[in-house]
Amino acid sequence: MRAYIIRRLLLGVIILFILSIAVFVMLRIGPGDPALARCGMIECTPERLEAYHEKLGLNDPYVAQYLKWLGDVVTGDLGVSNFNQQPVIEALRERLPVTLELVIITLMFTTVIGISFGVISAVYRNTIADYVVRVTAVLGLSVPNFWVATLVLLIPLDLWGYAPPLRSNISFFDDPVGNLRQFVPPALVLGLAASAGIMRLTRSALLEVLRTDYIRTARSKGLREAVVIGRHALKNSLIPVVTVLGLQFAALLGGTVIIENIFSLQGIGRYFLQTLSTKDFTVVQSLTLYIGTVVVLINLLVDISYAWLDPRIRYS
Amino acid sequence: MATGSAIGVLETSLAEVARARRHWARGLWNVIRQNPLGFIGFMIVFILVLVALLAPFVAPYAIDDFRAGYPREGPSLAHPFGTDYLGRDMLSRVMHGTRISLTVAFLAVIGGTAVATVLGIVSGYSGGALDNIIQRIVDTVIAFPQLLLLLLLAQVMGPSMRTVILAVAIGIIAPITRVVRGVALSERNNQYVEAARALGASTPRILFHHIAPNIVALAIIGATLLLGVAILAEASLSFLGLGIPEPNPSWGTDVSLARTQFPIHLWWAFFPGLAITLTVLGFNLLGDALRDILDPRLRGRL
Repeated sequence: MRAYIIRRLLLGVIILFILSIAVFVMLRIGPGDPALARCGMIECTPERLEAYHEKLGLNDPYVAQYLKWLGDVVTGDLGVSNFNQQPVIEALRERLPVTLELVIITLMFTTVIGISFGVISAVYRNTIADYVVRVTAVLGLSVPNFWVATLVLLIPLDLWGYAPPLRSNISFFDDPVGNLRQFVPPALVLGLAASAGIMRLTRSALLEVLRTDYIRTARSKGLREAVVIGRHALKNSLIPVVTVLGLQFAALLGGTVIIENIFSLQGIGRYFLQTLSTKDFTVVQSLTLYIGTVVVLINLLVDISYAWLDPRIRYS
Repeated sequence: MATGSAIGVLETSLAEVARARRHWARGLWNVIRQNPLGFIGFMIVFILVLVALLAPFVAPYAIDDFRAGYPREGPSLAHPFGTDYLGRDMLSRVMHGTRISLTVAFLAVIGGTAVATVLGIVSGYSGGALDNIIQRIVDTVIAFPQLLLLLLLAQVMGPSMRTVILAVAIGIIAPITRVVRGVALSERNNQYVEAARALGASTPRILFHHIAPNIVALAIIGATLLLGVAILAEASLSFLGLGIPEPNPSWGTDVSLARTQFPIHLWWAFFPGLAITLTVLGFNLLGDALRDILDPRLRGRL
């Protein structure tokens, strides 16, 4: 097990190395000049722009630029935004709690709704309830979350002229109710597709397990159906579900770009989009590496938990 | 087998052909009866393709005709989907949007799966260093949220239809390469491959004559479901302003404009979003049904 984890961590370092080069090269071949944001729109003279190029190190050879950035990142310095001179570390400290809370609430909804309706669908297979759940799940996978989010905001505005107050982030510890009112609607929208996926997965996994011999044994022992499903079947069928829940994390991080944008939450997804459009090279590079690291670590945790949940699996 | 049945058909009399046709029709009816949702999906996709092909002829107005009506009208007989902030007819824009959406999705999915299939087969069959390189690149792409990757690619290449097609295709390549590689790996050790090799077949011949056909069913199912994913990806990119540029009628852009151009107009956002939902739903239902029909082993999974 330890050898496995060490190998996976080494692999993670390789992945992040490729990612860092890829994003660096992509930003350099694309259009746009990061010095422009610093230089200002109107008062920017060619001399001023050139001075900023020199100051930001954009005239250095690409290899030197890359190595300097990578050296800084490895020593914990994620760089400074060109746009407002804010250190990336500081921006992350402000924005990480927002995105984290959004994703955690979303995962909670996804788990509860997805698994419970998946179980209902499997247990009452081929009944009206099953069909309703399945059709709802396909719909949930088909509907674009930005449209639902837009409707959630526009319908009250159109009907009653109601718009939720635009406020900066409310801390959960200062005002739990206000905080939840701010985070629950976006989390529900963000979790639509994920919970639909979990619902379908739970259903098929549970159906598969219910066909096995040990379930027939449990039933023939005369156990109540609730015990058969709750204590025997569900545990095994949740193994793939837990894996997929972990893997949803990356997709949800992507979805936060849209949801944070629509619900004006100052999180990491929105930061990524903002810095990308202002060509804030250093921030985008560091942010990419940061997000990549999080996803790699989560994937590793998922794989380890897989072995823990299912003792039949052993990694060599 | 194929030639055998062809000769068989030639030899049958007209009456038998007619009976076979009735039989075929009954078979089709059975398929529809067993997959009512799949049939609905098929009809949705069929109608959408028709709309996409005929949009210039059936749409009542041109996409940029701002004299079509007053700005921000609700649904009416003259404008069933209302009008946008310039007074352009939304029904016409949604119809033309079908063209853009389906073109992007089809080109991206066909291109993406083709590249991914070749990469996956080569990677799985060759093994060794080449396999390692391809898989590490795939790992890297997968380790980054797909929407963020799309945004990055769109930003680098500048907003255009070509950009969106390329970006969505690249997003598709990595995960599908992984799937195809898995299949190719398991096929490699099958006896029929060994037999072909013993007969002296070259590696490319084994790859594309023997292994590829076994992956085709999987590819068709995957591609249908991917079309829905691609449509959502294009719409999301356009919604965030990095997709198809105006005045092209992208559904995602229209939903976004309805939200940001004050005063807001609910109907303007409603119909393009509904169009996205229906389109993706059509492909999802069709893909689920195809999976049940073509590959019964997968029935009920995912």
